[in-house]
Amino acid sequence: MSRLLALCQQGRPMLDILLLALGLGAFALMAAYVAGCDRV
Amino acid sequence: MTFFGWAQIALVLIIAVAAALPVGRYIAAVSTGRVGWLGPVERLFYRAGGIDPARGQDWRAYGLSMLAANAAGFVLLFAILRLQGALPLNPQGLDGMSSWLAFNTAVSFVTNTNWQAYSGEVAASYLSQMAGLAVQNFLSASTGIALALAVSRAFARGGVRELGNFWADFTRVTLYVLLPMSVVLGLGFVALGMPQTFSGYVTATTLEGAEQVIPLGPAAFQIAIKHLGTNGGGFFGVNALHPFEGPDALATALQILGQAIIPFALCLTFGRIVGDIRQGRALLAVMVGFVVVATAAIYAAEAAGNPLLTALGVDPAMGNMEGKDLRFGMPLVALFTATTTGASCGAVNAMLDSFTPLGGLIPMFLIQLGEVLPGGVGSGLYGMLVFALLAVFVAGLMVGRTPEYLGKKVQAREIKLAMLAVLILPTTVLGFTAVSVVLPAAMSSIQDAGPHGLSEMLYAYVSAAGNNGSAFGGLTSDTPWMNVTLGIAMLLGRFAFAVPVLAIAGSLAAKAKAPESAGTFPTHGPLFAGLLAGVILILGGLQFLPSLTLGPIAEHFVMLAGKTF
Repeated sequence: MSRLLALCQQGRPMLDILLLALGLGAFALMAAYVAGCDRV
Repeated sequence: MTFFGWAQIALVLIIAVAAALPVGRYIAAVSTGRVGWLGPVERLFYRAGGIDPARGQDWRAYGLSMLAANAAGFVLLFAILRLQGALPLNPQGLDGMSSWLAFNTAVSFVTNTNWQAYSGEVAASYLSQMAGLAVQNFLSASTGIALALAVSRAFARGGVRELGNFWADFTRVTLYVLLPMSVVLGLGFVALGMPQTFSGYVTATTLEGAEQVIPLGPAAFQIAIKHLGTNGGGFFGVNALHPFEGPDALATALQILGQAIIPFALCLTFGRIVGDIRQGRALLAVMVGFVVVATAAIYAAEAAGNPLLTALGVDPAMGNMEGKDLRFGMPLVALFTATTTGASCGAVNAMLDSFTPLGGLIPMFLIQLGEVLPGGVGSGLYGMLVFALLAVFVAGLMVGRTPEYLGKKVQAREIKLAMLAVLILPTTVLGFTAVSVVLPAAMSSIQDAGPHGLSEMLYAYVSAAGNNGSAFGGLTSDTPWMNVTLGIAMLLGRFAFAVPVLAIAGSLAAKAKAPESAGTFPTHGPLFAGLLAGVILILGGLQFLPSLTLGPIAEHFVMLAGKTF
C-alpha cells in the first residue's frame, strides 16, 4: 500500500485526476447526447 | 502482380466468406439466447451484477448501459496502466505509463481503436497486457457486436420499444462468440510459434558477440482476440511485423481470416434476425466488393514499385518492398492492409509510411469511407445500416416515394440522426488535423516534410476517429497534445456515432412493419448494392477528397517529378 501511495506521489496525481475527469466527462457528455438525440 | 499472388488473395477471401456462413448462423442463435453451453457461468455473471437478462431495454437504457460499462472499463484500465509498476506479473520491472499515455491508451482500448503511442515490450507489463489491454479487447468487441444485434432487432420488430438487454448481449457475445473463437485461434497461433509464457525476456548473444534482449510474454492469445475483435493493438511494438506476432505466411492468412470473419458473419446474422437472409447477403456483397477492389489497388500500386528507387538501380521486379517482409509476400500484405483498414482492425504487417503514395492512399480512404467495409465487429454492420438508410432515402427522393427499408418507413427523424452519425467522422478528423498542422506543439510531431507530412498527421486523426488504430508512421504521437486530442477523437468516433445510431434503432423499432408491395424498392439485389456502394463512395469522397488531394495525391505527382519524402 505504501508503495502504491509513493507511486501516486511520484506521478502527478492532479494530472491523473484531470485526465480521468476528461475521460469520464466525455462519457457524461455522451449520456447527455442520449437525451439530446431523444429530442431530435 | 502474379497469378499465384491473385490465387492467394482469392483463396483467403473465399475461406473468409465461407466461414462467415456458419459463424453468422451461430451468432444469430447466440443473440436469441438459444446457445447456453456455458449457462452456469453466464448465470453467475447475471447474479453478480443483479441483471435480469429477460428484461428488455429501450434504446436510451441500452445506450446508457453501454456507456456505463465502457466508462468503468476506462477507469479500470487507466488505473492498471498507471500502477503497473507496483502490481504483479511485471518481470521486467516496468514503471507505470505516464498520465498522458495512460489516458490515450485507456481510451484507445475501450473504444476498440487500439492506437498505440507505446511499444508493448518496453511499456506494458504482462498484467497490463492480460488484465488490462486483452480484457478491453474482448469487452470493446462485445460492445460493438451487442450494439449491432440491438440495431438488427429494430428492423425485425414492430411497434415495440425494447431492443434487447445490453448486459445480456454483452455477456453472451463474450462467452459464446469471442472467448471460444479466441481459444481456437490462440492455440493455432501457439502451434505456429507465437509465445505464450510468463517467463521474463531472454538475453541472447548474437553472432557478432553483442547482447540482444528478446522479449517474450503471453502473446498468442492476445493476438488472437486482437484480430477476431478487430482491435488491432499489437503485443509487440511493430505489431504483426514482429517475428513472434507474424511468424509466417500461414499465420498472416489466419490473421486476415480472424479480422474478416466476424464482420462478414454479422451481415448474415442481420439477415437471419430480420428473417430475410438475402438482405444480409446484399450488405456482405458490398463489403466484399470493396475489399477486393481495395486489395487490387494496393497490390497494383505496390507491385508497380517506386520509380525513384528503380532509377537508383533497385530491381523493380518485386515491386516496392520497402517496409515489407519477404516472409509474407506482396499479395498477403495487400490483402492484410485492405482488411485491417477496411475492418477497423488496425493491425499492420507492413509499414504504411513506406507504401507508394497511392498505395498509402487506399488504406486511409477505406477508413475515411466510414469503417464499414467490412468495418469493426458490430460497428461495421450498424455503420453499414446507416448508409443503407441513406441509400433508400436517396432512392426515395429520386422516385418521389417515402423511403422504406425492410418495411420501416424512413422519415425525417431517422435521416437527421443518420446525418448526425456520419458527420462526426469528417468533423472530428478535419477539425483536429486542421488545428494540428498549424500548431507548433503538434507540428513538432511530424517527421517528414511536404504532402507526406500532411498524410502522416491526417492519417493519425482518421485512424483515431475511425477507431481503426493503425499508424501511418513518421509521427511522434506520445506527446500531451497528440495523446489528448487523439483520445478525444477516438471517444467521439466511437460513441458520438453509436448514440444516434441507437436512437435510429429505437425510432424504427417503434414503427409498425409495412407489408411489401409492388412499389417496394427491393433491397436485396444488385441495384440496391450498387446504390449503397455509390452512396458510401460519394459521401466519403466528397468529405475527404480535398484532404487526400493535398496529401497522397499531391505526393504521387511530386514523386513522378523526381522528389520523395
